[in-house]
Amino acid sequence: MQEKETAKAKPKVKKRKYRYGHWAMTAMLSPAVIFVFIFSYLPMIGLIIAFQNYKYNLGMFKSPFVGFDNFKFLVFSDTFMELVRNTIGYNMAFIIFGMVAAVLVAVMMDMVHKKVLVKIYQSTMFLPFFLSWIVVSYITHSLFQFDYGIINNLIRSFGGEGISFYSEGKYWPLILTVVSIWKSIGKNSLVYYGAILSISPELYESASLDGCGGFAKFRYITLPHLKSTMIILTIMAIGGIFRSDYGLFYYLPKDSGALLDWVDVLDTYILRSIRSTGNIGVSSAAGFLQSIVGFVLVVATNYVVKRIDEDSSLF
Amino acid sequence: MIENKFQKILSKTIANIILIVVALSCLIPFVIIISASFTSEGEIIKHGYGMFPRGFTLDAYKMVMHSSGELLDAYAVTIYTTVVGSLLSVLMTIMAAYPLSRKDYKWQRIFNFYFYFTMLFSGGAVPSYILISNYLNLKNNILVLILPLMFNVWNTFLLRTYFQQIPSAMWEAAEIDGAGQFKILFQIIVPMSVTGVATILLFVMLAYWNEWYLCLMYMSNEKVITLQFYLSRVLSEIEDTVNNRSGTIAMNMDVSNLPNETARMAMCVLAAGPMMFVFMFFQKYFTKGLNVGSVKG
Repeated sequence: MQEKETAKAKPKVKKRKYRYGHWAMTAMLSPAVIFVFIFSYLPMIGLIIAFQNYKYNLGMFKSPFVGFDNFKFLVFSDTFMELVRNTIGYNMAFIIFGMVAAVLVAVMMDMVHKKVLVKIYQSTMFLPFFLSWIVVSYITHSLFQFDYGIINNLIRSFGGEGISFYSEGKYWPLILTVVSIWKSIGKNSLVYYGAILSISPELYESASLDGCGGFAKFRYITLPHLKSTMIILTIMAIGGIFRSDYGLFYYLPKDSGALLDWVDVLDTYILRSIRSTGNIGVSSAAGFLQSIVGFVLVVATNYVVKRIDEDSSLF
Repeated sequence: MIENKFQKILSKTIANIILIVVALSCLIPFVIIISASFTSEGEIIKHGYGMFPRGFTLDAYKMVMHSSGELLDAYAVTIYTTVVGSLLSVLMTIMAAYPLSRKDYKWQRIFNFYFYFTMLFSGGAVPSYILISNYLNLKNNILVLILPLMFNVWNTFLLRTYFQQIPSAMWEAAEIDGAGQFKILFQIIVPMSVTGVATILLFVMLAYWNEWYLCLMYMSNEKVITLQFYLSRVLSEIEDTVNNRSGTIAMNMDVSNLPNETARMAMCVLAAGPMMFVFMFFQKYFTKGLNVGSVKG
């Protein structure tokens, strides 16, 4: 009897105490809630602009609706296929090669095993992460510039002809992919290195006793343990497959017209039309595709992953 | 057994060599930029860029310092937005991460979803541009360089994972003693998560220091621009004159005053340098701090 009473009394006390706590915590949270509402949720309403002939003086609610005209105009324009090809192509390359590079670096750091060395490697590889794309564009300038660039210097010193990188597009898929991986390798490999460290050493020991070589250990212990991290990061990346880092694609090729076929992506297209006289309706149709298709892809991939392997799904 | 040991040493050596190559590729560009900024202009034109400064000189820095009050203006703006923005941002992130980390908070799940959803879905560039310039009227206001970056969901979730690792007995005991939530957060939780807070602070500072996008979109005021944007403008002005494009921006600039190759690199060092110092300062927290952050919702 007494026991029952205390059991009853306990939640009561808790409830009274927590009523204050809930409001205090909601108060703490409110600035963030308001900021996210203004800067993330309000723009979502703006997606309707994609179906309008947007006029700055009329605004979002009075501009005339035009149905799918903006989308038709976008899809049937000469550059659309090229934009989509570039955007998806670059993103796929970044996702796949970026992941392979990060996992390999993480595995090798684990092999090195000396804490001091790992620390040095990690800190050095983090350096590019702290540069803005603009500073990176200065670096690529010093490498690829025609007259004084280091790469052209090297080519000439071996008796070759200099390459005019800033007017030949075919080199840029490689350059942009390498630079993109280079900038984020420190951060990405750290995530995988952390996951590797969490694997129990006993697993490796017993594998050694069973006569497993290094590769077999990698294949049957390390890789399966990294799998869910790899899948989750990939699902996240797939959501952004129509988005690109504007700085990378705009500043590194220096906005050179000759390279546009090779480096123009949806984001540079959209930004160009916001900044110059371009058509707001058409660029918001492109933005609409980025948001909706990206979201649908994330949900779909996640659904498929969830059916195969529940633990690896994002949500 | 001996063969096994040999194999182990061999693979270790190969791993070391590859990692050294990767690490060097991350380091060498810095060396190139720094050494070019100390090289004389004539040497660059004659021999091109290189690893080591030839004909050591401070001319480039002198030129950058003398020729542009604009650079100092850009420094002032960037330091202002970085300091004010980071402090407010970290405060807001801490206050948001704490309730989200408390499983017994009534609306924890709802708000977690509220924030998480914005990582998966967004309105995109055009609606944001129209909102900020037409409805919030923040164009050419220095606040536009601070407000949009102030809250970052990713950082909040990173910090949330930190707070979750603190045993619940800590705040339970404090609550029994009658401490308010603000007191618990700032006197118990935050001091126990120095690594996490430092990591967030570094990320936020980096975002403000390297800001150029908001400047490009919303700032037509020549006086109030960030350092990185100033750097990008100098670069594009040079390209415009070199390519003989008739850009309107290039017209405003005296061609003879254009910073040359070395001065550009000096500016680069001045723009990126401070962040490198900050990184070294935060370094001990940083690599530890990132390992925790899981993105799973």
